[in-house]
Amino acid sequence: MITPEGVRSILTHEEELVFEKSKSGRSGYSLPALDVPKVSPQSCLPENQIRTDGANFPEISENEVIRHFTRLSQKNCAIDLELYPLGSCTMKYNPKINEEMAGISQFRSLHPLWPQKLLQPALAVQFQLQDLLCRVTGLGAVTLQPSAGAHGEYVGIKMMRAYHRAKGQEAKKTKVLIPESAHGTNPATCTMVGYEIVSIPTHPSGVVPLEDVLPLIDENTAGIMMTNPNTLGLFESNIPEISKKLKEVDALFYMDGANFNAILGISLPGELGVDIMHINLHKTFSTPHGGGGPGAGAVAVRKDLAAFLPAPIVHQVGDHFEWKENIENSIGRVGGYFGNFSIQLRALAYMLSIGTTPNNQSTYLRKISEAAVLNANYIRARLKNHFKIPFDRICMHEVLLSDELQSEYGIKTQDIAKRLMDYGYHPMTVYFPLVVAGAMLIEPTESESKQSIDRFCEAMIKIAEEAKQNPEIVRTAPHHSFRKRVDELLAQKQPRLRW
Amino acid sequence: MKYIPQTEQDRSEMLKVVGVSSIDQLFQDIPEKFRLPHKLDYPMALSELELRRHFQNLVSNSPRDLLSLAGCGIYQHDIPSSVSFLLQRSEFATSYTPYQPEVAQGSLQCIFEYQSLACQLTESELSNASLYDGATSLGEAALMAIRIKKKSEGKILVSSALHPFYKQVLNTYCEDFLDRFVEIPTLEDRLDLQFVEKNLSGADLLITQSPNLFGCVEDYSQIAKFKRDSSVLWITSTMEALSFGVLRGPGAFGADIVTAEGQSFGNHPYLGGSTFGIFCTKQEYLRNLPGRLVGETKDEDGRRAFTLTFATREQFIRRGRATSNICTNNNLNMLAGLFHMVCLGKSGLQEIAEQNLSKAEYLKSKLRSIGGIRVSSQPTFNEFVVETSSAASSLLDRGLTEGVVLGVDLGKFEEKWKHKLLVHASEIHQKQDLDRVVDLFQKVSR
Repeated sequence: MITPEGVRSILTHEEELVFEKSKSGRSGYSLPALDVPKVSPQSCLPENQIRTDGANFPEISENEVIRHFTRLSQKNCAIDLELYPLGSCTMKYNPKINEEMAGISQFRSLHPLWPQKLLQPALAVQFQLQDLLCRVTGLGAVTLQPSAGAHGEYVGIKMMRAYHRAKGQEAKKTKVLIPESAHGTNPATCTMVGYEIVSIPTHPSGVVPLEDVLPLIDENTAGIMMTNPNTLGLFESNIPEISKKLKEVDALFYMDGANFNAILGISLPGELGVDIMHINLHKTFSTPHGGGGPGAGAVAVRKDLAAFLPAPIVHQVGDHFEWKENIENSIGRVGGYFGNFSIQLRALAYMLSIGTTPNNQSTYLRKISEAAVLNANYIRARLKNHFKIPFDRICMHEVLLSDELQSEYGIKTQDIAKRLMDYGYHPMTVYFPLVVAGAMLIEPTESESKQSIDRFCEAMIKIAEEAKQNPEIVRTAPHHSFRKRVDELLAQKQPRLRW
Repeated sequence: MKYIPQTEQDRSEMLKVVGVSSIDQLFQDIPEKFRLPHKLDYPMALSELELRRHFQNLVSNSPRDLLSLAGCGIYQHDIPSSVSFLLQRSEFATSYTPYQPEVAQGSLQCIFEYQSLACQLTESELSNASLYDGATSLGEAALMAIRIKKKSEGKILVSSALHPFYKQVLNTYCEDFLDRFVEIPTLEDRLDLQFVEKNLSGADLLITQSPNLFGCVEDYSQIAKFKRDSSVLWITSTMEALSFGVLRGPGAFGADIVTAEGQSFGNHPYLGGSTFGIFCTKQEYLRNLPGRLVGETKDEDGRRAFTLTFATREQFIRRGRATSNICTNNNLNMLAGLFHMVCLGKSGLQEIAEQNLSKAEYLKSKLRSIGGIRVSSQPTFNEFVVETSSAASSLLDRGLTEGVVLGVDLGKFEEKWKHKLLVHASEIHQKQDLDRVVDLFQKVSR
């Protein structure tokens, strides 16, 4: 049985700021003695630009460094500790072999500006990853340069603009359609690229109906940006027809692939009529989220759009690989070097380990999506008598709840999320999507066992009961976390943004 | 499949609770003709042992024990073992954006400490939680400054000694403003200051990099004097953040937005990614800042706590009117930078920077004594330009035959630089390595 007492934290060390631990004369670093003549900055640098204060960095010894940050780490939730049901974030298990592969020293030490013959292993990795991504998307070309999902969106929408420019239609194509339920990054990206946003209202069914979207498509439409499955956890079944209609006005279909984990090996976006999509390698292909990145936001496109990809792209030439720098209508470079290679390595290791099953009948890609979707539906079924399910139908890899039933007792989504911490869980995504009041978006991923999901559901059901019988304990949660409710308003009223 | 814990029995029990008879029924919303058969054209799944063989095979022909003097934006430095150890903590590596402060104080306090150190390093008032890398930080800085200048149509002065990849990213980000760009020419590989002085009035933005593409330290105290009488917003970029160990931060000269590549702190080269971008500015531009920001506050019991703050600038609240679309950044790379900075401390930072300076100056002095080689006479930190009568690319080729990467051939960016070889030396190069390089130069310049 799950109780807050059962998970009560042992992590109670109060930890000072590193600056408060500093004591003059300590250091956590050692260097060999200088084996060439010592040159003083004064002898070779402009006098009024020389610095001698060591940036006043804090001074602590190595053992204190380790203890400080190890203690701090213990104040975090993490996938390796417990289910982490953040909706639309795909917090799946990150296999350790991927870390080992990315840690190979010959990869780690590759310098991006070495002659290409020294970089062949890296180019081979990128080429293979591009190929596998084409296979799972059904699209013809891929760039690995974007550093994260939003960076991928930026590349994709820039390409949309470059496409219309190449056709001499840039001035006319001014609008991009975006469903209201979209991630905030979608409209923010369109603004960055200079597009006007036309919002598609949410339909009671949860998916975009043809009759709502078709009238919005006209000759000024540059394209549409849709997340599929959408942020309500539902598959957008009208994509093929929407895409067909867009083609009539020469507009493009952009798919936000943040939720790709639901349809791996089950449906190919390219076949649905998607022209451009980004894939969050860190979500679908299981690289550690690092407390907020690094991610990697590969962009896959229809073969004939390859001319707009950011340069360079890896090509195979005979028995070796080359970066193709000159791409006809390329949108240009979007990142310092060649994308987040350290993440590409992990994603490739994962993609290679989830291929065709030994009996040659299926793929683990597919089994992953099936398990993720079954887990989400199982949660929906177990919680439907305790929480409002705004779109109570078969969902994909995530399920959306709301606080409507608990609101009767004065309990809000925020309270439920904080109380969940007392049961040892990181909360789900809250108040998103914005189109449902008090939204709670739960994505269990395929990594969770039935026992794990049952435990989570028990905790949720208990909280629903507490909301009725003892609302105070929910409203004042969390009680067992390292910090009680944190005053976010105060942080803004009296900003203190550095030591 | 070792990553999927569901058993056959679990599945049938779960399907029953869901109220469907088969998994396929869960995918009924996908129009049938768009559902794939179970088989896909995709390679066989590899076991752990096979994966290891696959990757080892990829690197089997990699040169070992290569001596490299390549820098130009990505540098190999000595990284303390504590850094890699701490990065493996699952609580850092397998958590996500700290939106729920009560269960993310670890990440949040780390970011707060990083913001503080980034401000100290660059002598700035305010830092965000970091961006993707040095180049995109510069792109975001330009967009931010253009937003601050609102409808103004003034010139955007850009150093011609900017790393070409940074320039390309800047061009992509500023596509709609390229007609306002004016290149600042160089004299002897440093900015032509007279040109800067003459063109500053009426300019909206000034974009400089120091040390620049040629490794030269620009004269920021002179630019600071010019800037005083103008309304220009000054953006600086730095590829080698370790240079701040011996050089004043651009904030000290009045730079409005200070950006830098953070890789040298805590991150291996990895083909140039992933790294992190340092992004600092003045307090007055707080609401224009892109990216995340962590602030100190209190919890209900009045204890110190940290939280994400001023989120109304960000895409998940402000959507189409956000200061940037950035969401996931390169947090773990920033943490590596933080761990490294804390290990170094005040004395370590100074010592490592002085060792870099000394090694580069030693190499310079030795190379100067070889006939037919021209070595930059400008102030530099840990890299500098070497010119000979033969093309830099042929020097590189000759070096490679002896297992040495002599530097970066700047001719790969621009034909006019084909005689320029950018050579980098750091604390990892021993005297004997540098002497070997000098011998090589002696041979190839003959």
